[in-house]
Amino acid sequence: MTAELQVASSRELLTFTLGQEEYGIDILKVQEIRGYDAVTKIANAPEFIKGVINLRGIIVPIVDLRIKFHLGNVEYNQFTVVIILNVANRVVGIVVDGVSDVIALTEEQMRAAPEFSSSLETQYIQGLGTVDERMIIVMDIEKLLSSRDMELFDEVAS
Amino acid sequence: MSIDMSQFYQVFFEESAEHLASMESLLLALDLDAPDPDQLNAIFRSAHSIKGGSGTFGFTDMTEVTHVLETLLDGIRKNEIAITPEMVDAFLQAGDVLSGLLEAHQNGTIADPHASEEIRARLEALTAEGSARSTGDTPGLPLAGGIGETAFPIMAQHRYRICFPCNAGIFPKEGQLENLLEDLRNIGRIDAQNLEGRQVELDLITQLSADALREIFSFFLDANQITFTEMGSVEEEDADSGYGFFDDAVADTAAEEGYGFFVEPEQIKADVEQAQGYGFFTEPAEIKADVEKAQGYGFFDEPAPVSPADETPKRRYTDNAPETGQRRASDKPAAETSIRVSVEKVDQMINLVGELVITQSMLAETASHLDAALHERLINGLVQLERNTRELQESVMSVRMMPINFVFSRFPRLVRDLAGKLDKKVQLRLVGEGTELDKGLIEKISDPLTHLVRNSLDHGIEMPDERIAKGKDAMGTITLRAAHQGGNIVIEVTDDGAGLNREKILSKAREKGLPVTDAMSDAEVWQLIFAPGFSTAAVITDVSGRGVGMDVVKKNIEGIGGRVEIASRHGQGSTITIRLPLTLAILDGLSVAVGEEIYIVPLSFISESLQPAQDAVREISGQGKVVHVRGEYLPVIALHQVFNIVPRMREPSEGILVLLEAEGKKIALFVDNLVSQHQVVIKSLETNYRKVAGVSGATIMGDGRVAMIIDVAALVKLAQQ
Repeated sequence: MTAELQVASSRELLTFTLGQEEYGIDILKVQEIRGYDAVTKIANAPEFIKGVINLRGIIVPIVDLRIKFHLGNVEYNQFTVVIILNVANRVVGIVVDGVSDVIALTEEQMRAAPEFSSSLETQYIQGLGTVDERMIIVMDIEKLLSSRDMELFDEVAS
Repeated sequence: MSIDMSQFYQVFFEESAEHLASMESLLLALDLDAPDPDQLNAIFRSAHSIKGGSGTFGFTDMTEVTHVLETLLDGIRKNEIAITPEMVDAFLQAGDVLSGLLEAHQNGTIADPHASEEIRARLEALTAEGSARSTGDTPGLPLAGGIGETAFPIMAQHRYRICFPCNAGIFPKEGQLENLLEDLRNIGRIDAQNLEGRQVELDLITQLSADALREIFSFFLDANQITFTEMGSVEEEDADSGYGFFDDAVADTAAEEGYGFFVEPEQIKADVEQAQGYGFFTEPAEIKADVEKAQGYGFFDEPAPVSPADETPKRRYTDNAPETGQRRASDKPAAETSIRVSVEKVDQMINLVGELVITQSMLAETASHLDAALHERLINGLVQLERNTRELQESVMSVRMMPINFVFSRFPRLVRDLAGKLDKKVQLRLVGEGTELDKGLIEKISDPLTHLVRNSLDHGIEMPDERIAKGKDAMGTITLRAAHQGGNIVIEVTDDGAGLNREKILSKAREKGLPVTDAMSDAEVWQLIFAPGFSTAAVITDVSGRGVGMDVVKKNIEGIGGRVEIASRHGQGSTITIRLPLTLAILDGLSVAVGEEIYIVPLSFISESLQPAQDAVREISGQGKVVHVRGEYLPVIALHQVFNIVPRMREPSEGILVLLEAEGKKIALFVDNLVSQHQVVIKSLETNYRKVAGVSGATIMGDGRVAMIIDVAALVKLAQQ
């Protein structure tokens, strides 16, 4: 019974690194992971919106979170990874430094986020998770991407 | 037996709308002096199908209107009543009322009951008038004894309580109970009914005797299974209403009598009748005669006397069920060969085929780097794939194509009504109604086209005496012509009226403060009428100028990637030409390069491309650059500035200027160079992103990359700021 409850309350996260920090996002939001391809620039878009790609016939905007969060040197090479997400009924790709793992996180392993200076505003952080001495920042990716300052959508959905 | 009818509502709505439309077009095509019996029959069948359907679904208001309509039509098609123009008007009006009712049912609203009452009264009056006239000069109607009886407006009505069992043994075929009930409705009024369970109980108010009723039931049930209880006579409720003869219940009976007692699967009957004349069938005929005697009602009867010797097999009730199945089929022969598919499904197919085309061209691109000798089979396979893909794309696209007649068909009526209102004589010619274009375009073209036709009729065509004074035929002609031309569809609205008045337009334009000169070419002057607020102010009439100006027409047409051109000769008429792309999903574009990027410019906006001489481009301080092209100075818009990208060429004289025209304004778009011309599949950027200024959408190029499609109208606006 207790075990079942634990299973039910745990969630699977895809973790990735951005600079020195490790972030986790709900794996159910992830559609696929692919390499970084040439993008088509969008006129007058903010710098962190790299442009759009053709994902099997669907036009998908690509956001570079490294630029958005001002994380050091931004390079595009064969190791650059794009996570394609399904958020707010849309398909969006995010560029990150690297994808590390899929982990299950139980409620016990989750801590509320303190008021601290992450690159990410606290309102987009659902909590902090600890797995084997690693701290994972659990991100509300849907809220982040549909927020006004991402300038991805015409209207703030949510 | 209770089936949930609501699931078929949509089919009924669609079919009825089609029937109404075909009825209207047939009515308009009808030659009043010598009406074609086939056409009359077709009109009758349309009305009849609507009646049948609305009855089945319980839309009694529609049934009532179609019923009186049908009565009159039936008289006409049997040559009992001579058709008059007033009748055609009334029929058209009835059609309008019916579409109103249909719409109301569809939207779940309540239609204006006065309209249907009015048209019913009008049709009934016409029926009475028409048949009265005919009876006089058509002697020897059968059962003449009945005529005398009709003088008595009030018929004795009986109320019967009828009970009979209802189960699969008695009504093995679906719809049989419905048939029976329909029969009953045709002879009287079902007042209260209880169809639940295994026992059916209903109250029928009719003039028929219990014996006659038993005869009806005998087709379905054994006499000992039914109980008839006479509940007494009923007074006709509004016997003093003036013409009690046409009172609802009575008129019902009377009218139905006209084409036989056994009305129910009326469609079948109509068909059967067509096939065999008006012969009747042995068995029903006897009863029919019986009934007639019983109620003495020969007034609306068949012109052909009942002939029991008729060779027609008695198929009516004996093999009823299979006929019910065939009903639709025989009513509309085309029904078998077409299916209704929702537009979403078709659109999904088109999208998928679009993907396939892109994938195919990516493969072809990759294969082009391979050694043809080494990979011969692969390359042959790809060639085959390309051909198949193209054919598949074409055939899927053609699914969305509809003949333009869907729009054109409304105009005969419009022109007729409008000409009548304006006291003008106008004939409408339709050319190329079969020309096919995308369904989406059909919907969007109909309003602008309506406006243009109204305009032509109101302002173009002169009054008859004026026309005669000018030596023209008093009858004006408006021609609607549609044709394919290259990758476009061209629709022309031509009138042989007065033509546009150059002086008037120019002075009006000056009044409005528009920049005009006397040196302007005719074409430029005509374009002025597309200026916002231009046309309407001068010419507000009841007919045109209802707030939809020519500017809106032009904007709508440009909105779907089309263009409008005007040609006009004073005193001889005008032609307005609309050019549209064949479909909304694919666009003819010119790809242009700026820096590293490729953009698509819709071909429909491009008038020409040129490399300007160095001295043709002038700088206006603080205003940007202009280019001098054949006497005109056009603002130069550099695409790299609009989109903030680094170009390869900085000077217009090094690159290419693409001259664009939108909303009556011209600009020169400066790009690095032209790449090629192709058809592109339009993809929305907004599905996963947001609207981007200056970009109307995106597409996927042959190499799999995304290219933006330029929003020319937005660029033109930008130039004006």
